[in-house]
Amino acid sequence: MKYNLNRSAITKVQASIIVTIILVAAVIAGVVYYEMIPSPSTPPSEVIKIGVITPLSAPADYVSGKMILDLANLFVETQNAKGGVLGKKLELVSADQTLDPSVAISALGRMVLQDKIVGLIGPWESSVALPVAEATESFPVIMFVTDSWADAITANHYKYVFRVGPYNSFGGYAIVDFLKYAGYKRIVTFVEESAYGIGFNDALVAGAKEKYPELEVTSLLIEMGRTEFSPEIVKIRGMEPLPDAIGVICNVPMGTLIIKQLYESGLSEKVQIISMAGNVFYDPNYWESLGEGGVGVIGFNYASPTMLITDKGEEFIDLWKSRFGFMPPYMIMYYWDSLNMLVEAIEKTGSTDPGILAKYLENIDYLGTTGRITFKNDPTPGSVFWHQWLGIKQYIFQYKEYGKEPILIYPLS
Amino acid sequence: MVVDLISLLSLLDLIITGLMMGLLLSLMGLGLTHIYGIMRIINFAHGEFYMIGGYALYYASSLLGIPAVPALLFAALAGFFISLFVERSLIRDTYVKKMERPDEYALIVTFALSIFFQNMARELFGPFVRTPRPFWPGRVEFLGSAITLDRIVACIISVCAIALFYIFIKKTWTGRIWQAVAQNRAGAIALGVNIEKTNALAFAASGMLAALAGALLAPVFSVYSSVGTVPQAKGFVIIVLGGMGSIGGSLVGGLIVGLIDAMISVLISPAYATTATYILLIIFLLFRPEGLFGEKARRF
Repeated sequence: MKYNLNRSAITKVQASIIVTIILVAAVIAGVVYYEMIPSPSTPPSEVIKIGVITPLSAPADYVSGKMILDLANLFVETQNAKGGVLGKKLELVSADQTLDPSVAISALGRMVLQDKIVGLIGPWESSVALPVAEATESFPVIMFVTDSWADAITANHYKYVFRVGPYNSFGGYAIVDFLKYAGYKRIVTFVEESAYGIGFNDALVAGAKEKYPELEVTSLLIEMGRTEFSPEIVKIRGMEPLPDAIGVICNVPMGTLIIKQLYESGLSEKVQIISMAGNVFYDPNYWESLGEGGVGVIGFNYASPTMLITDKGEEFIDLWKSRFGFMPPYMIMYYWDSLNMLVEAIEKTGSTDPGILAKYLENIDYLGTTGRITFKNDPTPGSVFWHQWLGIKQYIFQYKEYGKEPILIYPLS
Repeated sequence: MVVDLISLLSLLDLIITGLMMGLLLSLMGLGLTHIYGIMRIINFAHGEFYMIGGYALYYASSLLGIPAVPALLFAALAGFFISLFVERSLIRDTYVKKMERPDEYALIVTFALSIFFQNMARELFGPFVRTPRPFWPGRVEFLGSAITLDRIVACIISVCAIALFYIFIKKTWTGRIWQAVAQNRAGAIALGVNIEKTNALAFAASGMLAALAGALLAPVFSVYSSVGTVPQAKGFVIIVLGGMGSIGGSLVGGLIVGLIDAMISVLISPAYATTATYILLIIFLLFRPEGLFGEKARRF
């Protein structure tokens, strides 16, 4: 086939139709947008609305999403039984975030412009939470996240976004305390080439420099998708003396394969293996994948049976258990705290303006379900310590027996 | 200088590791080079037949309790019949129908097929990593290093499969027809070769080799939807180094890739292992595009 160079791609009539359609669409969009913006003459609403954008369908984590929605409904019900907020009834607006950020951002726009929410439980998965956090700059509203770990959610210094939970690099920084407690002097880390892997390892190295300078860290950067780790194992085996521990900062499947191959090589009999990825340590197929090689592996979590629970926390746990029949996961408790802080901010300031609420929250000192919640607000560009709670604690667990649940080994009190 | 950097024992350990990695990769390279040699198409879905072999072994051995050898045969046959179906339904058009750019068509079809198979596997088998029971539990200690018996079994079977495939091509009528088609397709057709049957069998045999590799390595590397991606990428490097269409070339290419990967990982950094392999690939493409075994060797 040859191209006919004398023929234009579209005719003038076709071009005119396209331009007209674009102009009409732009006018309609403009009218709809300005209709949505609140006018000064709008009568004050009799209700105060809060939003939840959370996963409610597969392939997103809809199991967690359902719990988050239950929590928000429970909160609204409880708060209304206490008289609502500023004498007004509290109302919940919810949306399925899916795994498509554009869907979640559309929901945010609708909630802010049409429903006029005053606060929001933000998306669950970081891949969606981060773009939605960015969108709060255009659709201003207070947004809370708990278990969305991406550093950038706080490191990008969004005006209205607060995190009451762990962040990615915190895991690396905090685990140094355990390494010091265990007396490990030399550690080799397998680091996957991803934002998670490199960020976590950098935090570990920085934490070691600050809290445990005696710790020598040798990092092996691993390209994504690699399945064969024999050369790296040969390298470790050739070290004199052998390291005290090997940290595996790689997600499934690489993290699992590394631990498996370390076991098969006999190294895990001589060196302590520490999994630094939750989806490896808590993989439902953990025992099938690792067999006996899974015994002895150490990992971490941000909740433990020994963690401090305040009176408020006990009260909430009883309420949740009476309604749903099981212990609430820690992130549910942090969402409960987040919504309570939002209500406190509204009541103390008498405002629903996101700027005023954000200022209040920046300086809040709130006794939550697991202790005091304050936010660190380091203005240094790129600092993760912006609207970030630092009271989160890391708990270290170890698989002691084949086929059994891991046991808490640090801190023991 | 190398001996200065690491001990002699570690060096030996490293060489053994590299050679074993190379042997396991050779089987992937062999399937790719076979398809290219006969059909002149690049199969981007080859890694997915590797994945299918792994899942077939997992379900046959771990869930149905079928012993190792029949489970391996089952996996190889699954690869054979699925690739036969793919060839009949999608690839056949490249040489039966008159189309303007059959090579590009095959490239795009196999690329799309790769994405389709990966997504289908994720839906059918779930997102979790599956690990079949080992063929032969345990490991042997050798010069201070430990090698699992499964890896040794996989290497032995790989060598046997390559040798058997070579003998098949040299000694059987089907093999001789494959050689004829590889050397001169038009001439072979003029002499009465049924090109449709020949191509179908060649594609299916290649899929079988990939599935066998995937099944052999499933207890070692586990199985998940994208498990075939890296072996396939390395397979392409292997066939370029060894010479496209050469069986011996795929074996030697595999060993070279395995050794380079191991050496660079230990002496420099694992992060540069693949980069080094691709630098070698570029050097070959620039200075010896026909690969180590050249034009003469790449004809069967």
